[in-house]
Amino acid sequence: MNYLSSLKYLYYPGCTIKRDALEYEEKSLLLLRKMGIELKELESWYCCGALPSLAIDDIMSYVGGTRTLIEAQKLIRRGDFNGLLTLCPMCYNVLKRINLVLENDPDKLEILTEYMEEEERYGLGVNVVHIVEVLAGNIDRLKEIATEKLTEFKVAVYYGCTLLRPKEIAIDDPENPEIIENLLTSLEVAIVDYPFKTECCGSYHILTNRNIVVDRVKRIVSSALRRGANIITVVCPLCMYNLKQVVKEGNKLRAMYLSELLVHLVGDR
Amino acid sequence: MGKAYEVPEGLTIMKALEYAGFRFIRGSGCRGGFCGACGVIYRSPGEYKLRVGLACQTTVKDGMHLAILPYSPMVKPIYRIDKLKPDLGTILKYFPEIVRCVSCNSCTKACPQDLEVMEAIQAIRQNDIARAANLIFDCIMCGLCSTRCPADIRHPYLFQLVRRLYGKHLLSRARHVELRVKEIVEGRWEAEFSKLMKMSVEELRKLYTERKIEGGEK
Amino acid sequence: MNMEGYSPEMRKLIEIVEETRPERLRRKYRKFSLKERKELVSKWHPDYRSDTKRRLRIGPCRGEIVYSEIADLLEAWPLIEPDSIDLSRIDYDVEILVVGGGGAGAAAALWAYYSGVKPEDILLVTKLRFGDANTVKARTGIQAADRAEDSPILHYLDTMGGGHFVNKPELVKALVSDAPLIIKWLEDLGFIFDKTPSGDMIEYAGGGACRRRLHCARDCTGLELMRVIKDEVINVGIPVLEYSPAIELLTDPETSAVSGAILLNLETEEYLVVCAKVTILATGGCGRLHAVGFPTTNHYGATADGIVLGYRVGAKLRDMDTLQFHPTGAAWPEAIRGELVPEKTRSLGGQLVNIKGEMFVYELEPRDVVASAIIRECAEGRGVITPTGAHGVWLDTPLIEELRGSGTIKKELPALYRMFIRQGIDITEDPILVFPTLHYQNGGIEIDSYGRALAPNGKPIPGLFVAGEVTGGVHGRNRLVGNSLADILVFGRRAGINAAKVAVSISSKPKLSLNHLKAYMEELKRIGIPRTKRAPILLPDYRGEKVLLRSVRVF
Repeated sequence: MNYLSSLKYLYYPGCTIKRDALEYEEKSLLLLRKMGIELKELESWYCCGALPSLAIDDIMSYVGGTRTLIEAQKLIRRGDFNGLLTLCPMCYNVLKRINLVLENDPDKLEILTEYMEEEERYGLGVNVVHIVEVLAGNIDRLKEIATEKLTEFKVAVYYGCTLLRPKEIAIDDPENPEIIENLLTSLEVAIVDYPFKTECCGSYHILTNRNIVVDRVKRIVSSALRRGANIITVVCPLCMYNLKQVVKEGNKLRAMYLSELLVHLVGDR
Repeated sequence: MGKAYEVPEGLTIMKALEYAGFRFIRGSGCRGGFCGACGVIYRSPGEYKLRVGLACQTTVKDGMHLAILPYSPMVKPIYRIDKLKPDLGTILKYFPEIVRCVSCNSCTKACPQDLEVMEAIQAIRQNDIARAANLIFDCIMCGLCSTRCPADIRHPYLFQLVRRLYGKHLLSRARHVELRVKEIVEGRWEAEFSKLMKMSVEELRKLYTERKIEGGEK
Repeated sequence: MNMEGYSPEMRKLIEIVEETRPERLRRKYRKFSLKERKELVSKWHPDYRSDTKRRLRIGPCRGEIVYSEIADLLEAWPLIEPDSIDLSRIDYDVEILVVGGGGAGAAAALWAYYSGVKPEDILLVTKLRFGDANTVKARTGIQAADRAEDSPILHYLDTMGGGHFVNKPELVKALVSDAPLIIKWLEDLGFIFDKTPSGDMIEYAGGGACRRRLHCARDCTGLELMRVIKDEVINVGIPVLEYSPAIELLTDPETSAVSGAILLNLETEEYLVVCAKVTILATGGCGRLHAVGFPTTNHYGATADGIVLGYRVGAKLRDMDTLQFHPTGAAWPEAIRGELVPEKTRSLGGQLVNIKGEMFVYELEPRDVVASAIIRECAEGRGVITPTGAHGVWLDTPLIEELRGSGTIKKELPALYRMFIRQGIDITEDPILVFPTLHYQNGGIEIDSYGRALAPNGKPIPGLFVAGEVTGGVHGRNRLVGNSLADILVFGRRAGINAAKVAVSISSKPKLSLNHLKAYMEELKRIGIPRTKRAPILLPDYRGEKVLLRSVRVF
């Protein structure tokens, strides 16, 4: 069976989910449960290091992520889990890239193994998946339970960067991703197309220069609005945080996590 | 500290140093493994590893090289515990350095109490204050972990804040304690006390002998 | 010789304990009658031996009998020559000086602050680091009668009975009435008590107590206590001076009131002058004097400094002819000999067993009774002799796991488990060897319920408050488990509150002198005490004999 259409995954929440995106987690877990997909949260897990850690060539920043992968490896050995599921695209990006780096550079894996002498060796076998991939892989189940309709809404999909770049780890075509649109279309949700769905939201610049983020988000949001969208759906807590610098409560356009949107379709009971 | 001394077998590092003629001012506290005054780092012959322990709890071994680390420099942040919210936001305000944790686990390896220090740091980052507080409950605040931490985390004070947040805001209050305090303040027991305090030793002894022991002999 | 774990000979003896365990599992040893207790204690307890004590020859309690090690300190010259001290240069000018950085001192400082004294007008000085005190080593818990099944009256009765009915009633009343209030205060500060999910206290049985009344923080109650109140003292901004013990009190030459203290910076060896309207002595106990040659559970600085300082300004001492020997100190391995095996081990069901695998005492008798029974077993040849020649009896810890389920020890006694596993002994599988160890100073400077130091005529000594182990009267001749942590907080609090009241009432700045010391020195001279005998000793000296014989003092 394809590991993207499995019904049983390990789950890595990541720090942001546990502090700033609890509602994203709640809706995502509810959605997956209703789809009959079983998740088991890792007993121990570690901060992935977030994106900046990959910007420098410092093997130290791989340690946390690798520990998490080893923790998953131990549990996979004990049960038939088909991968490690993430909600946060940043965590997805980091863990997946650690896999990539370690596969391509055995020396680095060797150094890490030596350093983490108290841990078992990482055998490179943990599939890191993002919830969007799992939803797409189990689209038939989703269709079966999607009893509600969202007729009065037009949805603009916003991907952000980290699910799509670099291309080696992308969940879809990085230039023109359609995985979420296809998912929503098959559930009869009206989609608007607009040219900024993979435009960067400004990411961590929010910490040092808010204007960069506001300018970028304004461009993204006004384009979606012009095309008639009244919902912009996202999958990343940082994208959500940045979008909300511009998109406020009561605006014509609502920002909504994809999981929340889908929970509306399947009913929240 | 690089100089050899001959001491009898079986002594703790602390007692061995004293036998050799050292008299501690710093570096000796409770002498029972509870105060963290006598952190010690050492290497044994044939070992590349730097190990840690408490001088009052670790037995000397032949050829051991060691140094006492009686203090780990760090400043404690000042706060009012009743004004704080028990969450990660509060902790980040006082200890922003914790986001620099790279999960290297050096802290755990340096803990003479064998606590899961890195797990606790990660639990804090995951906003799980209760789990963190329980993981580091037995911390004696020696600071050895902080001397090894590449992220410069001030673990002893960080953990102190975590424990107090947990104890103050996340544990439920004991209702029976409050009731008893109210009774006492209202003078509920005064009459019985004045009777008791006027009693002769013989009368008291009688009461004492006849009192029922909870869960006592069947 | 392997100094860790158990030798093959000891393993054989452990087998005997294991053989009798199934039978012991089903029963308890009977309780002694008061008469039997008395016989046992008077025959075997060091308090009742005549060769351990002597009469004081000088000072306010001249003629009274105290332990010889205490008498040696009281009949000793001061560390300073009064005339060579410059009292005109004052280093710290404060309202309240707290001497001692343990639980009593910290509580006194905090309650003085709560009572309206500005933090910068308080000074807390301590000999070692702030928190290096017997408080951190208190393991088992805090007594407070706060359950519906319990009452302060029963706590009063237990405390009086445990203390052989010679406790000072007003102090016992204060102790038991304030104890629940202290528990509430600690909850307010964020102390992590053992609790049920709904917040009720999980309370444990203790020796000599008729109700479950011990409030615990696992088996590190004192550590948790010290951590929390130390953190709070620093948070509220009370200045703390470490490595600076008081080596003498100062008195006002006009009123004779205590007016501050001389401190010694242990690291630079300079003296410092503190002028204070009120001084609170909270210097702790005396285990490091090793009375009668016993090992001790006490911290490095427990050298009875406060007794010496208080006595020199005329304070009355009481019950200094009695010391508490904790029944269960570790007897093996040598590295941890004398260290505390907490009473909670017995509260959880651990039985005391002799070399034949027999019980010989109900394990939750008052401490002096249990200690005497252990000494008797060893003296009469039913104890175990360790490879280093120490005596001990078995404390059957694996029994706890059988009684309460596997995992109980690691959950309830993590610190004890850790202490032994470091020495190669797993107490969930093997019993441990114990022997009494010098634990607590039952008596001390007599106080009233306000925490004021009293003179032999029963009048308070102006300007001097005392709190904690250094005081006498609360526990009579024997302290119950869990009453020490209650004591330090109850009377630390009372001393702090009342010291604050006194400080506010004094408008003029006190004057400083060492006149009382000069008078005391006349007495020392009269009885011919050699000049080499000096006190307070501040720290014990454990240097090897060979080194001391050849010592050349240069620096």
